[in-house]
Amino acid sequence: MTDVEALFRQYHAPLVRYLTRRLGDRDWADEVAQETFVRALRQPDLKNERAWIFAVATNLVRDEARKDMRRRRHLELLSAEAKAESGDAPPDELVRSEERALARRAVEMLSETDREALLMKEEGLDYHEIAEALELSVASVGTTLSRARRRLVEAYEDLRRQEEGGRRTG
Amino acid sequence: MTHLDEGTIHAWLDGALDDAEARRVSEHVASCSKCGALVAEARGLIAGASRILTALDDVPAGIAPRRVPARAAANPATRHWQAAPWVMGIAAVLILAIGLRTWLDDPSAKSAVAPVTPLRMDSLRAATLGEAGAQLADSTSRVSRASVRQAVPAPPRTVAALEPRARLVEQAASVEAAHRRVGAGAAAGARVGAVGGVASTAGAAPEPSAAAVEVGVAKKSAAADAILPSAALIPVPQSAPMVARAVSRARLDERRLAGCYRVDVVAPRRAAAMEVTVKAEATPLVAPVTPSSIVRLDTTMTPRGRVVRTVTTGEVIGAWSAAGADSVRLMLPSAGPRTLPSSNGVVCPP
Repeated sequence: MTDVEALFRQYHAPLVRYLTRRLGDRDWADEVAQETFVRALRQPDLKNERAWIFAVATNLVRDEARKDMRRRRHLELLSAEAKAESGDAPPDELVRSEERALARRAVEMLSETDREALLMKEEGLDYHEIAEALELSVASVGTTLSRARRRLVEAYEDLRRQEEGGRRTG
Repeated sequence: MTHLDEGTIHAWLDGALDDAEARRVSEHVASCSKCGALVAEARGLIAGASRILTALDDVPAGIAPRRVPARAAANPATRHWQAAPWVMGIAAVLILAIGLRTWLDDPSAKSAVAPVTPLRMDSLRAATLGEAGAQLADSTSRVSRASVRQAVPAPPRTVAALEPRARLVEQAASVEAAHRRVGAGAAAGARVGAVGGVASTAGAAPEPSAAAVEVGVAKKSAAADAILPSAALIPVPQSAPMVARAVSRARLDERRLAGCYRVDVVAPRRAAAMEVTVKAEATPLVAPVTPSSIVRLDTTMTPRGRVVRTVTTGEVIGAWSAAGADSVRLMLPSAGPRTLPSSNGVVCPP
């Protein structure tokens, strides 16, 4: 019998963080995490629990994430702008939202698999777990991660450069 | 041994190679300067990527505007801290209990609870509180959160003087608008992993005339994103004085038309999607659709138009602009565009 309580204690926090980074919305991340653990309840026995949990959560969001991403980004920007306008936001908060927006755009430039592999690695999944969760060969995980990391850093630096260049001429 | 490929280097740095393979790699790296340089670069990429991803943790919760109870002002970005004190107390006890058991029983679970870096304490607290919050009846914490938000007043704000507002708008909007700008700008010389350097540029704000800034930002945002209602206000191309006059006429209309309006259906689209995947016996996680809703059309201006909020929580749900002298055009991402006549206006609920 799967000990869901133990599963929850061990994996809920990293799962929510993974989903928050993947989706950019903590409420949504909480809901998907809940749904994932509900499904774990129905499993008579779970081997490779962490891989299973991350796999289920990833599949739950894949379609929805694509459709909803634009809408949510739109709303997030609106609210950040409204906050700035109302004068409530302290300057370091503006800096943080800026960094977050840049990070989000850079992450979205990765392919879905690259993005998910990298986010899972950040939550401590090892190569075997990532391979199982994403249905990759273990041998290809290293290449996937190296490509994802390089592309993420380069995309981020490019976006930063564009923004700073735009500021100077704008 | 031939030179190492990137995938092998990363696997080695991630500790994913078996012992024999790992030994071969480290011996090669020790004697090969080219591969040594690749390893150094890979280390930088791993650290840089990690830092960038950490910036995604600070997601502002919901989109409720932060008015000022001291609690909220101290930590505006993380929703979990808006829970009532008694919830926090119980949560703290639960965290201790869970934390102790976890650490005592299973040291490998440390990774689940430990912070990524010391600077990420707020995401750690949010994560563990989220865990504890789920241990309590989830509805309890939601109710206390909702009641905190409701208790906070949301007075309508008059639009600030033009000049400083344009500067603020320019700063906040530059994130989105900047990548659409044509400027080639000199390379910033950013190094790999130099994620924290935004602070140096955040303070710099150009100071063109206010009208030109507003027009410029609105035009660029409008061109790039077809959803924006303000696109209708700024026809391209026109001379600057004509455009400025059109803008100020629209602005007067909007000040007059701002207020509360009755809308037919305003509900998160996500509710329907989740129902497909969640079995009937599970509790619905999103509020049900209401046949008719009241929304507040605010005078708060952003490059995308003025802000639409719910009257219950003040949560931002879209943008609006004047569509002539007697109607308003709403753009609600969850429900699509709609135009309302001013006769839909209602008295704002207290």
